[in-house]
Amino acid sequence: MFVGVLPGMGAMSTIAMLLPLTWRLEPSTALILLAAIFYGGQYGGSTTSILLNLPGTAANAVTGLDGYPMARQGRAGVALLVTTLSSFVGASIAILLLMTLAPALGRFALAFGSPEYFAAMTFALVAASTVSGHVLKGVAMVALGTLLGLIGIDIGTGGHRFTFGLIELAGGLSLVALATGLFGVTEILWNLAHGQNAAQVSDERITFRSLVPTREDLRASALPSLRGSLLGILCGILPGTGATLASFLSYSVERRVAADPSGFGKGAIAGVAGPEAANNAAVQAAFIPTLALGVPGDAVMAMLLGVMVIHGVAPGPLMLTDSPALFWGIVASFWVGNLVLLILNIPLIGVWVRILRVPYDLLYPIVISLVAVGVYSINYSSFDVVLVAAIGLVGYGMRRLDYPAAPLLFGFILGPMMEDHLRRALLIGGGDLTVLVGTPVSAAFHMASLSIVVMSSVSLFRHAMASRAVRDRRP
Amino acid sequence: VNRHSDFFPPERIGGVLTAAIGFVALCVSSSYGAGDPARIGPGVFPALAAVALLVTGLGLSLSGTARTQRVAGMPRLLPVAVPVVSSLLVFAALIRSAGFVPAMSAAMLLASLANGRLCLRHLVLAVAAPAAGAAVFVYGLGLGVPVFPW
Repeated sequence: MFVGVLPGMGAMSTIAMLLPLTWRLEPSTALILLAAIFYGGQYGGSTTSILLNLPGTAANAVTGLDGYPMARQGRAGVALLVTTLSSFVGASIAILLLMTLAPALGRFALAFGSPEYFAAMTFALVAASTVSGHVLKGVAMVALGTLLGLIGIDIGTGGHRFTFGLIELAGGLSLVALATGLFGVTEILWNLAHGQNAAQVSDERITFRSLVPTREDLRASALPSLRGSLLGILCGILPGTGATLASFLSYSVERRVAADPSGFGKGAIAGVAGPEAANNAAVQAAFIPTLALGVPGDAVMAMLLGVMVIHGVAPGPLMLTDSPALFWGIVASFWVGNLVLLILNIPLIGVWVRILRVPYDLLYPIVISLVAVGVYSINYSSFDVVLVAAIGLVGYGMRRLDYPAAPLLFGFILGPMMEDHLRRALLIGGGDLTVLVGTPVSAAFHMASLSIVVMSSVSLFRHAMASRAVRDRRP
Repeated sequence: VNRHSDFFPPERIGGVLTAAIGFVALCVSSSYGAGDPARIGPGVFPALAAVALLVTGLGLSLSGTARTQRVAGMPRLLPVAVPVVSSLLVFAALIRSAGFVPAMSAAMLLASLANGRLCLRHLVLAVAAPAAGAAVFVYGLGLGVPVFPW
């Protein structure tokens, strides 16, 4: 929650930076902590979005469309309270679904063999690389991440791959070094080089009375919250979509169903309640495929999956039978975490505004040295710290060229798992490629992947034609 | 200000780089052995990924410059990157020989330079934070490094 309030510090960079610190914790504690950062960030991000029009995460940008005008009209308190309430509604509905759906999905997934996993992961990778932004760049980054993930000793043959004779690379590239470099160090370099220091805040006094919404406000936000929750859950479960899309979708739906669409953008309360419910529901629902199938839907989930594996927990259908305590512990922590957020967020709104005032020139040296300490402490490896610096520079270059970093991490974690399942599937099938599409489940996943590829190629082609037409029209 | 020439816009540079990485990776992975269909070798999957990189890289270097995010003005990267990177390198070099507190202090001081000026409060922080860090990591979490060189 603290994190979301700091603008520009997404859940990704924070989880990446805190990752090394969770090493010495119990697996369940570590996971609960990282997961809490993820969904807490969604709450916090809306605060700055409303007060300053500075969204903490991309998903909160939509909240600012109507939240910021509300704040300018002196209704900041109402906006913040409605945000908190509808976020809670969205999250609660999604957790309820997680509790009912995950065990059923897990039982269904017990029938999954390597061909099915290969198909599901292909689908997740295809969806993730095509839905976000530029298709070619997304695919390229997934492929690059896969290659990076394959560095080290090959499980099948014991031979080294892509280690270039460096003994430090035999064990593979460290997930923590990659993630902290790519998100943490890159973020700092970017902020310093482009002078985006923490914004200065005008100290608006938020009294308790200004928080109280009228009955009218509550009635106007009830239905949008419910609709937003459903949209959010859908987006959360589908790989590659996630919270950002959920809140944008919800906003456009609210505008379409509203009796008076002209109020949107000028402080319509439905424009705050819907998207906030949607992105919080999406964040919680994203845990459903990750925990039940072991197939993450986005890069943050992929990272949490990586954390589980490092901690010796195998996510997926067997997790419910093998370590039910961990699964239900995580679910229980979601309830507690969301309740705490609900209770804390309201009185602490004033405090959040003050946190924004920590000067960046004091913050970032601490962050850099914590990155160094954290990465070093995992393997007592100075090499990993050097690696972080190098990856940070590469990450900066990627960001300059507008290459997305999240698909890279996604490929890094999923790529090697896919190779494993591909090999196993072909071994079982005796080299017959049809084993990959032989069952209804895997065939369905492959059809879905294929249709995404076709759809995005068509839109890519149209886009190219359109830009060519524009160019031709110019003299 | 756009300092890039028309023929080498950022989009093309990225595409060429991507294709180059894909090409190198393809060459390297071709030496790992293809195996046979039932037991595919260690080279097959990397080669697939490398081909994907090569193809998308070529596509990107040929496609237009339409969607590149232009950053206004050339950012001052070097005065920022040198302190940040050297801060991490110095930490890596010092942590084993000099111990936790000197390594973290040095890293923080170097990192502070990236901001352009060094004030008293940075110095204070570079002494206070490593002390707190040593308490948490070395004494609290049992990190196995010396606190001081002696």
